[in-house]
Amino acid sequence: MELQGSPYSLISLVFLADATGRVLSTLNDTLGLMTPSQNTILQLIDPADRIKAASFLSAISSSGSALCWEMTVPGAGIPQVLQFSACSVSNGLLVMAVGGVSDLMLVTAFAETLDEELQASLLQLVQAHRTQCGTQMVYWDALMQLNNELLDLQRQLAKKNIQLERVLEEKNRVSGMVAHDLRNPLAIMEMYGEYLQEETASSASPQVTEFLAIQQRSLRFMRGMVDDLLDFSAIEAGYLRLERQETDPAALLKEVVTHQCTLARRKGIEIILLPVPACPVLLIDPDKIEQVLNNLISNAVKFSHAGQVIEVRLTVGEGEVEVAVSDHGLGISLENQKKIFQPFGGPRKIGTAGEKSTGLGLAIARRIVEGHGGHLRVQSVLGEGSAFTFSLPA
Amino acid sequence: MLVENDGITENPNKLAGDYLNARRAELAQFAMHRQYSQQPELESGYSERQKIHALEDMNYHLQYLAEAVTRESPLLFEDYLRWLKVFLPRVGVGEGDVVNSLAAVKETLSEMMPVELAVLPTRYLAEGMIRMTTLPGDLPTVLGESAPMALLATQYLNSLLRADRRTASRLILEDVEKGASVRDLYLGVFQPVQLEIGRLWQLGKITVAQEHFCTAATQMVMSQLYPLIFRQERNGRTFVASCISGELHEIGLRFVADFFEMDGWDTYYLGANVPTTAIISSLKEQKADLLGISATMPFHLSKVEALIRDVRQSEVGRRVKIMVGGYPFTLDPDLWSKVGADGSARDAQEAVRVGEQLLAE
Repeated sequence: MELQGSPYSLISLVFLADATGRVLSTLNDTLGLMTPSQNTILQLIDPADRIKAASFLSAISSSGSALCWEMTVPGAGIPQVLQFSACSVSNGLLVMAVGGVSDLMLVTAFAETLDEELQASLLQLVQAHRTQCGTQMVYWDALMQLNNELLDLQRQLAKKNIQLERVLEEKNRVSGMVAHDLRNPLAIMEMYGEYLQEETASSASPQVTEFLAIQQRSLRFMRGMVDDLLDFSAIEAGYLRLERQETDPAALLKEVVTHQCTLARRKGIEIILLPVPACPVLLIDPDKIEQVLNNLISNAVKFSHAGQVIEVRLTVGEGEVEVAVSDHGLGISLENQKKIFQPFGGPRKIGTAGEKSTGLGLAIARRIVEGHGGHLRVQSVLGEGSAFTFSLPA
Repeated sequence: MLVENDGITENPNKLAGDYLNARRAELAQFAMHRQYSQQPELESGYSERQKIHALEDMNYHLQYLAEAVTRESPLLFEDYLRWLKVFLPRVGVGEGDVVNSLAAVKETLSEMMPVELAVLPTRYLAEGMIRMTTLPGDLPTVLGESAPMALLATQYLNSLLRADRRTASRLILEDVEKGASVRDLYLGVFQPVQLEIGRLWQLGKITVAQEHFCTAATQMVMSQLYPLIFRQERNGRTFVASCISGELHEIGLRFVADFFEMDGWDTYYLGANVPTTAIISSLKEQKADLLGISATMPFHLSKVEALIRDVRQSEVGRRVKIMVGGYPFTLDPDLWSKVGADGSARDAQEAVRVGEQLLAE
């Protein structure tokens, strides 16, 4: 099995050069790196490192030596990063290149074959190179240690993330279970409440009638809240199941607006559906989108004052259909706009007629819209009103 | 066999090891003179620098011998000889010269060491001289073509040696996409590639920079698999892992910790350079069942031994089982008991099996 890309032999290259880097004689070349056409150091080095090679020569001429310069040598088709060191000697420059510190032994062994003066210079160069590499090793080891520490942190973080995911799953499961168990007794209480209201309609005192009405309103609110909680838990647990079918969004919108108009009129608010353009049929879950529309329009009613108007507009864009619900009611501060799509994220605002909110409606609406591949956004000015717009891919 | 000395019981092997360490320089000098007197051509033929190297080699013989003797582990010394046999020919030292130098050390110890202490070291040396002739002269690769994931492992290694960690990472993640298990990738790719990188470094075929890079890149690729590793159902057991301080070679212990995690254990990887008190605190805090300690260098064994002793003396240490692992323990299968551990394993998979057995006892 062939391995590539790495220096696989011990490397010792020693040569003499003149001050310009012209090779005078090759003394030792274990890997045959120096070819007859390479007359200068610059030709020996890979073109990408030639600026560095020129700096290497300047460093020797200015300070007499240069140690442990890493430069790439093309070699026999396999580029290799070698460590170069050089010093001035009486007849020019003595240059040495090795693959790593362990190769210095080869150079040392080779030095024994040289004449006394060159031997002394080369051994001195090897020693200086080794010392310089020792300094570099400290940094290598420190870097390795740093890397190890970062990995430890990454491991801890990954572990914590999974733990958090597990806790979240558990929380959703429990809140879903609790909501489900609350739903049935609430429905029974609401049913008996209605029965009592009907039975006592003519006989009860005005106070009892009022108490029963309050009880029924509270029960309806609680049931709405439990329904939202169930929806939200299911969505968070990854159970947003869309039963898509071909749906005419304009017809759906008209239906919802008609229903909401009746409720709005009780508060003295008018809902205007602006003229609907020709609209493509969409592959959506009509019940879920109806839930979104109901949420946005009922919110607009909740936070508008008597006498105000709510506009609902459907537009057809390129590859998408947009629905916007605009009111002129209380509006939302910039700070709260960032929170309203989070579950229980916004301040628990009370409607203009004292209506309550579960704090989950917009979080659910956004997840439903995003589940369809669309977006839900808000534009609002505190005290002037809000416009909620959502898009659905056509 | 224990020696009573002024009421203190001491292990004679440790005494012999301490003796060799304390008088190493002097013994090396004597052994060197002995070899020169037996091979005068060596002394006259060596340059001054070669003489310095030869003396350094004598010192190394004694240093590794001392560690092997202290642990009563001839296999540790044999591993040193294996390394010598591969390495020294590359710098022009013949096998015959190595055997002669070992003989000179043996004769010097017989002459200078108290008889009762010299028994073990001279035996190791005598056995070593014989073994030297049969030991392989190269370090064979573990990335043979017959290895289960050899092709992927070789492609992965080649990417790392080209400093191309993105391709290396892609190769692994693509294999995961195709359904490869994380366990198989650890055992079939990461582990053999790390061994191969170590081998190439030993042979001087890659630099420290390459070795560090390849290890760091593999650790990074492993971390991309964490989401798969940490999702296993928990089994209620806890494993705390730590390296001996000063160790930079942590990757083996990471393999082990991840294998325990994949088996449902809750694992806490403390890394290296963690003070003993912090390890003990962590054992207590995490209600650990098992402590794993790794060491790569034979000269770190005394630190392993000291750590185990300190843990055992702590309150939490009395109920925690301790496993050791790393290079020296793979050389000598009995070494774990000599440092006071409860068990050891050759690789991450075996470690989980041994860990389960220890807790079942």
